[in-house]
Amino acid sequence: MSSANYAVSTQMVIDDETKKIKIDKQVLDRIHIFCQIEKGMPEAGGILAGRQNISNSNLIIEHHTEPMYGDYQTRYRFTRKDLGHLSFFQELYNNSNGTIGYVGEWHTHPEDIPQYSMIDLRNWRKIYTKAETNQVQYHLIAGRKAVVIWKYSGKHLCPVKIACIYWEDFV
Amino acid sequence: MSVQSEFIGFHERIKLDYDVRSELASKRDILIDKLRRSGKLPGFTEFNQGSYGMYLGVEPIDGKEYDIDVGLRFNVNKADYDPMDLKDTICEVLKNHTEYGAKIKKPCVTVTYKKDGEPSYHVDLVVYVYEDKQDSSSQLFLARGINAESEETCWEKSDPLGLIDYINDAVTQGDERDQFRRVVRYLKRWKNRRFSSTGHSEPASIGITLIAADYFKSVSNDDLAALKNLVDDMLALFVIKTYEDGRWLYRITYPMPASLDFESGTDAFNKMTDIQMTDFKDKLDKLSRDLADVQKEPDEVEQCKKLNKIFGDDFHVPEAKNVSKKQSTYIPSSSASGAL
Repeated sequence: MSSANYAVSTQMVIDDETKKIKIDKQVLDRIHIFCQIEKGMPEAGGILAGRQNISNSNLIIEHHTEPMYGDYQTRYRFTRKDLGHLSFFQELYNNSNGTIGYVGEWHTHPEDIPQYSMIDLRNWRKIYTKAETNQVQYHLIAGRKAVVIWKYSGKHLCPVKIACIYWEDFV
Repeated sequence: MSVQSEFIGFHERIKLDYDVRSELASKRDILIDKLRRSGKLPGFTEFNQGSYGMYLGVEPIDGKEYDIDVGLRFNVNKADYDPMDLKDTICEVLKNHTEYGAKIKKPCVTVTYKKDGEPSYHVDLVVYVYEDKQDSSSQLFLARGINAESEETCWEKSDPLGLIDYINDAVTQGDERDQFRRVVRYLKRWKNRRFSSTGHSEPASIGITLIAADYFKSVSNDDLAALKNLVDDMLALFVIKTYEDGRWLYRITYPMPASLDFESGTDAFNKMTDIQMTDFKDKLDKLSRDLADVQKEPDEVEQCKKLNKIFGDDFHVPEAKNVSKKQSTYIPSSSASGAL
């Protein structure tokens, strides 16, 4: 695991090789609301979107979607199906002259420190393959005590964990 | 674009531009011509001193005046004149030249110009005489004082041309010197925004400029780092002076360069009180922390917002879409995840 993180005012910053990834605090604050703390809470999820500086390639994740009416949610499953996620993204993309792009998926797990499941791994592989752009994706799983971020690129067989952030240190 | 290119744009906006320089120069030339033709003064040669002569001028911020400092080297011996003789005559010749007239100040005679009903320019004329007028390289003396009766009035050893060369030659000509001049201008703009220009609460520009000349280290293509390093070097020069009213007071004592012919014991910050110097240190401390924050910030737009807070609206904040890469339209139409 190569994780280094520190808070810069209201943002979470993660080092990823030569570049930095910043996750806006508002995004993490909202995701935190869906953490499966109570027994009855279902898995939740959505997409992450952001922009990348031309000058230094740093990635700024500042948009996300949340569960919508047409999504499938149970205690141990989340399937993003509602077309609202796509239209939200399309609007972001168009309004930013194509500079806000898809970063990856986020979802919750009913465990303290989350680990990806086989279903997650298959899903991330499929997302990467379908993109056909060799573009790296960053996926986030929000557990009860920590949020973990993985990078998925064609370079490695498995996703690479790049950060584990404890909620108590941040929210 | 990058933060560096935003710095360059900022510099273009704050640097005293050519038109203003020309206008100031023409005001200067008119005054000098008037003094020459008056027939009341001995011969003299003029030179630009201060920020104008050092290529370090900045656009004044709202409500403040442009200024130009002009040195007049009179071709006379110090022994033949009292310090106020030439200043009084200059003031007499120029007193009706503008609506504001001419005013004698301790180091100079000031002539203020008005534009659109407001004071907008002033020209400071600084009087120098020779130890020995036959030898143009002999010691120069500055006429200091407001009136002949004051004890402070004197001929003060001075080396204005040596000082200009010292600053202009401090950093090797080329990219490094260009960055040196930009960084000094950034500090001056910061100073103009953070300090009142009344009294001596504002640290003397020459003090800041001298420290910059002695400590500046160029950082290739990174004005932010060069500025941060200089601010930290400056902070390291403060030493505790005294303990007063429950707090430590600090100062920097910064003499004129020993290689130059100034009065001994001079200090570029001598007019400031310990409290004013400590205020200067506190503000520099904050500047250092704010610049460190900018350096840590990964987002270029956010970096520029922070710099805009430090330097004001001449530091532009770019629109995110203009500094971000084009992304693909790809988004997976659905996504299935599960904990088990």
